[in-house]
Amino acid sequence: MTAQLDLDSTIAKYATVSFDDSTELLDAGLESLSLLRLAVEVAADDDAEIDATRLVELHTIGELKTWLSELATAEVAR
Amino acid sequence: MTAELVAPPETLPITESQKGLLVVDSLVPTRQIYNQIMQFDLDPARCDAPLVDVVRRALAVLVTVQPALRQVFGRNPDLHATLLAPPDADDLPLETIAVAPGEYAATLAEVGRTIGRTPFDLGVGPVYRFAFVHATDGSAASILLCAHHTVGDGVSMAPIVRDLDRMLTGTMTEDVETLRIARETAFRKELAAQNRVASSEKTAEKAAAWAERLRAVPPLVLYPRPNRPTQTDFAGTRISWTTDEAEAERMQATCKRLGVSPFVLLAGVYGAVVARHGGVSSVLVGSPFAARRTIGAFDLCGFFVNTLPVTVDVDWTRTVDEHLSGPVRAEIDFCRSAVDVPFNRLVAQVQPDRPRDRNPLFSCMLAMQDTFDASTATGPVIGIREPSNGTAKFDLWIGATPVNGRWQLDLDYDRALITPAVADGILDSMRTALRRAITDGSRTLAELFDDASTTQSRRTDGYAADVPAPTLSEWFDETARSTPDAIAIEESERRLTFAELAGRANRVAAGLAGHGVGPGDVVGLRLDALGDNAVAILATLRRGAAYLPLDASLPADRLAYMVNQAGCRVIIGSGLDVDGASTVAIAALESDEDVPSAADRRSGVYVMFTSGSTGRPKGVLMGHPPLLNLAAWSASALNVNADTRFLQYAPAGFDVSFQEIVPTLLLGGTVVAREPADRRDFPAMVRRVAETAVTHLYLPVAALRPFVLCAQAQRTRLPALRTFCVSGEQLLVDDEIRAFFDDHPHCALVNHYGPTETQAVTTQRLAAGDPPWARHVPIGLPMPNVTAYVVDGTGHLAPAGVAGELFLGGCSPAHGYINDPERTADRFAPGRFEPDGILYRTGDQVVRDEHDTLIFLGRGDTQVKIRGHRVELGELETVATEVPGIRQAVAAVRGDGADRELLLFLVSEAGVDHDTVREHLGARLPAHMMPALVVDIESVPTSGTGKTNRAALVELASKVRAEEPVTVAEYADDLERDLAEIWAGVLTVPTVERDVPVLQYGAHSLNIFTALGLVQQRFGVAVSVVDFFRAPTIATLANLVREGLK
Repeated sequence: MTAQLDLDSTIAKYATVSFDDSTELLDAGLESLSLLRLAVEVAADDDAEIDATRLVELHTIGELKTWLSELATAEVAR
Repeated sequence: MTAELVAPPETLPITESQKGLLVVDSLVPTRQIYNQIMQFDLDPARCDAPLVDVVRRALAVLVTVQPALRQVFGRNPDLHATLLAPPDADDLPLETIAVAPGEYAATLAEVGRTIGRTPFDLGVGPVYRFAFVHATDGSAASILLCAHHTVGDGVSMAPIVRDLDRMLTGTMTEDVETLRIARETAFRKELAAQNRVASSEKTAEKAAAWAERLRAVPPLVLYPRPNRPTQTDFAGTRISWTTDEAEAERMQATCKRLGVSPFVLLAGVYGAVVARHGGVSSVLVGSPFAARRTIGAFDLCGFFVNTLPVTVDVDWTRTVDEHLSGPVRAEIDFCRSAVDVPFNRLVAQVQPDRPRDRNPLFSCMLAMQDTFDASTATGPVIGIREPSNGTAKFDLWIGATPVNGRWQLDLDYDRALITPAVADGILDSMRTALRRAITDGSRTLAELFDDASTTQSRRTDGYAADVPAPTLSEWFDETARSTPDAIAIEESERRLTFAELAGRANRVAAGLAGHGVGPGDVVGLRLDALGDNAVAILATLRRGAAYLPLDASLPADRLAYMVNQAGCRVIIGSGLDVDGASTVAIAALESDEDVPSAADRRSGVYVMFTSGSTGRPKGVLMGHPPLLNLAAWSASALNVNADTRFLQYAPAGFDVSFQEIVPTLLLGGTVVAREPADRRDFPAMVRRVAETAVTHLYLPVAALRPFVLCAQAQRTRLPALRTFCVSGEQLLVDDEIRAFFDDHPHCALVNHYGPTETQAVTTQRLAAGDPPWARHVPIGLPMPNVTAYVVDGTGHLAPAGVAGELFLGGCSPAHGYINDPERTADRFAPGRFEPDGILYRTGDQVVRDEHDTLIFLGRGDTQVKIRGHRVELGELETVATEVPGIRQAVAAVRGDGADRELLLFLVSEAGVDHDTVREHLGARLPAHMMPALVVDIESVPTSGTGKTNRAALVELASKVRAEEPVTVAEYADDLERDLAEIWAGVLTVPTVERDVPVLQYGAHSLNIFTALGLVQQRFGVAVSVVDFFRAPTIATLANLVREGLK
């Protein structure tokens, strides 16, 4: 799937090591600030909102990708 | 673009974070403290030319497309912002400085220091200013942006860098006006999103739950001390440390191993450091959390962080790994999941009681400044920094910045609260703790720290203590031989020369020998006259025995316990009959038999009983070495010599009486009896001191003020007085006390400290010529041969500024508690700081300041001081529960200084009346341990942690006393009514009945002086305290006044 590949390569720009979906975010060198940058990069619209309180629930690359996919396709809420 | 193109300013809402900052900003006296400085280092070669013009234009565009920078703030009707029009490049507040390459670094640093010094006018703006410093050879250049914090945050640096990179290279693709409109729209959307979330119900619920937890965290006070300022001018100093690359790698490896971020690692270690330095086990570390919500806001400069308190719980026995991957990570995850709770809301819920111009929740900050990685920069901006502006918004702030593969830790501290030495100690701890944490995660948190140097623990006051003899007795014999005709004891009716004193002491010693008294024995002293006491002390010491003062005013039951516990079989004196001991009059002991001295250095010198928490007093057996040291020190430090006339004031059962009598005699001085002046009669005391030309006086702290006020009121000068010693409790001095010493510039005030278990061990000297005296006087520096170790909560020697328990060593510890090995072992034990010696654990909390001076902070337990007497609340409680029907008893203390009083709270079965309780207590406890108020309670209130809540009880007692029904007292005449009014005022009670002793209302020797002073002012009659004390009632007082008026 194209979107899947795109997300992997976007994440790879911020990650410090190679990873797969089960890799822990910290093991991949991704901290909360890089997660926000990733979100900014993939978000559908400048008006899209990030609920930063949800970042703490993200532990693996797989979870991150699910979240980013939602963000990328989300309708602008307001 | 010019200002005319822009519509009239539109009102913008501001965020909760901005509101909080604006409120604090309006309260601080030094408004520049919220000036934030960002430094952007440029590679001039990557910028367009000509550099200065390009920079000026770029900065004007930056301000145009970053609406936050153009905010100004209004107050009405609510706090709000409006946007200024974009600036013209020529009007931009920009200072351009070209310098020779050699001066570049220094100039840049200087501009960094000064650019933030002038406050902004937030209502008028602009709230930013720039400086551009560049080397004339094009080798280096930096932009400095100083803006008020309410328009920018750490995360703002990245969008500014991205903007600058494009603006300095002419690579902006958008039209400026289009971008301005888009950014202003994004800015409004972010503000709206922030305010929507902040005001949601869910957020309010989160805030309430969080606040509940925060209330349980004690305030963190770095460098705690009584005279610590509550307000400061926020002047700050920065000190820094940068890890090496290997350390940075180990930090990374530790984070990876534990699955935590560098923030968790640094917050965990920093939390432990400030917990150690603040003497607590739970701390709140403030930290900014990125709280931008809209995607568009990540291109914006603005104050969108939410600074939140991270609770770091510190269990010193937990390993570093457990600490970081357990509670610290969980807490930081919690903060991240609650990042939408505005700080203001949290504060409103917690309602902390802190000064309004400081952060209401935390005094320490940790800021991760890792938003920009210079190593990957490809544009003109090649580095960013946040220079200090010379202020400190917090007591302590640490910024952590990754710099070229290392971590730079900058520590800013408030200079009024933390001294340079203390700050260095904190940075030292941070360095050591971080290095150890990343080297071995199996260490406990306590093991992250080192002992402070023992140099401070072993520092003394510098006076000599040359001891000329192995025992006190032999030293006295030497003195008596060399000055036989000098006066040793001066009583009102009799004088004893050294020869007479030694002769009598030797004869009594012979008599004691006849009664089988020898080394290791204890001899009770039940004597009144000073001369007799001195003879008995010297005789006892000559037998190698220890003396036990027995105060006739103590309950018989207590005296019997003391005699038996000490194993005392002979009592010198009269009026005391205890099973197992024979009481012999001193005259009957005198024997002319020639008995050689049996003085023994290994024996005890005296036994003094002090309150014991288990309900029975403890008898401290004090030996020769500490007392020889004290006597020798007295010669050099207090100038006790052949010219000394030391007043004997202290009751025999106080160890101070030893210091008044024995060192004076050993050094050839004269001990002057207090009698005929009554100890409680200050006018008479002052007269006695004046008439006998006393040179040395030693009073309990509580008596200092009444004594000097009395001297001043009577206009009595004491020209002979050279040394005024005090001890017993915390010395507080005020202008009136100081005035006495200003009038007696030849007289020093010497504050002594030392528990009965070590005698006096530290002193602080105050003289008229000294700079202003601190109100809360330190306990000073140890005497020679005394060591004083301050042990902090981690079990290490505390660095300067860190509170801890005081352990006393060197020659100072007593032998222990007589015939009580268990309690002795608990308090007197070898310590690792002095492996060959014994340390006495005082239970006193102290802090050593940067000059090595010790400051008393309080007790770690429930021992209190009542007018200089040591009282274990546990002893009063235990004795009270002996009364049948009393299920539980809690004692507490209320008031300060001379007005401090004991309160007793009883949970009892019906039918136990207070008179029965008082009768029982009176039969077992000394007068100073009697409660001023007894209150019945249904149950004992406890705090959140299950501890007895004494504060709540004290509050209850105040309520009970206020609600006491006012009995209509009957008086014989107006004089009695007037006197009762005076007493009621002094004792702060509604009324004082004519026939009830004033002692029952809380009167004591010191406020009796105050009351009688008022009586004298009003009626012109000086009532003798002694006469009044015979029956201390209003009726008696009225009779005495009437007699005086005749």
